[in-house]
Amino acid sequence: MIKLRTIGSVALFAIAMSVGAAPAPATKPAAAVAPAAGSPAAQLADTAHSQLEFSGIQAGAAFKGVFKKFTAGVLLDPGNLAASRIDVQIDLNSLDTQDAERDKSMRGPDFFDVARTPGAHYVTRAITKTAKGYAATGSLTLRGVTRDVAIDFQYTGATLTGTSEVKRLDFGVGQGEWKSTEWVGDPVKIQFSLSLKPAH
Amino acid sequence: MTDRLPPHRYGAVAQALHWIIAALIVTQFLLATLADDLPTGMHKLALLARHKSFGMTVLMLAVVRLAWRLFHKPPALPPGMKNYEVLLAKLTHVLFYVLLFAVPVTGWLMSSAKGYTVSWFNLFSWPNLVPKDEAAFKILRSRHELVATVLFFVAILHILAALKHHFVNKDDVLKRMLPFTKTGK
Repeated sequence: MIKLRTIGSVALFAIAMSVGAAPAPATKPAAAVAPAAGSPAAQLADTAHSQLEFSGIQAGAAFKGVFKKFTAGVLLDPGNLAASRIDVQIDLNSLDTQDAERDKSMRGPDFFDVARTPGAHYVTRAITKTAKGYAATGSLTLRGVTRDVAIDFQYTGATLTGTSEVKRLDFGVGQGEWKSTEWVGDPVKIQFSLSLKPAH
Repeated sequence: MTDRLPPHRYGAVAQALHWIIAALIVTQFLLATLADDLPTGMHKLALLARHKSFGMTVLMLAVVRLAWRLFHKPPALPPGMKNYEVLLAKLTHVLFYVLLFAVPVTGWLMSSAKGYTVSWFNLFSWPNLVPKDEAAFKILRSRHELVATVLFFVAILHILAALKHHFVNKDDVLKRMLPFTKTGK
């Protein structure tokens, strides 16, 4: 956990640095209430009040799980999406699907292989405004595989909620017999609800 | 089948329901026994998924069968049966109807309590009957095993009785449930 926090902080620091290094925008909004464009305030997810949930299909029926430990760094300025970023570090070992046997299998070598790759990392590359909120594309690194993953989200300043969908087999989550999608579906839905607080 | 119910035989629908359910029950015991011995893994997951799908099929057929039984009188028992034999036969049949519901429903409850929604051949999901509760799951699992064991012994009694009627009493009790046979008179 401490290690994860550290990684999260470092990641956030890296974002802050890269954002700081980005060229300053030509104009600054005059209104005091609007966040200063070009320097979005760094925020961290308050993990006690945040949720990162996934749901898949097992034997034809849906099941849900959560990652209890993760850190999420958010730098979001609706007026400067080019400089905005979301960075999430997930402790895969902290998964909980309300079934100890299933959790054990999922931590094992055929699925997340936490002994080898204990963490997953998601970082956005581009954020755009949509009719409902925002859409982001980014890279998810999971089980040593990095793939593009898109998310849709809403941002209020204090909360960030959204959804995504990944295909587990794109990341090799499911080896050997588990590569079959007959009993465990390939698509996995992801839902997140982050309560944000200032990073410093 | 025609509307006329032959007085000495079970109709085609009653026979079909009897034998399909009988075959499913045998399959269910085999799947449960095989799955019990397997370690956690896809093979076990697959066997249990099939066990649940077949079990829900039994439940659905039990509804049909009970409805059919309520509106279709079965052939009369052969004459000459002793009072306790008649009572035992009726008791066995009532018990069968109870168990045809009790076994799948306890299984459905048990799966719900474990947090595993029951699917029917990956086609649709049945609602969870109870919220997830590990303690309730353990109780329901033992209940499911108990009623399944009772079903096992009632089925043995039923088979032995049918064979006794056929080979000892030499009456039509077995034949009238068998398709492709003719009963006397």
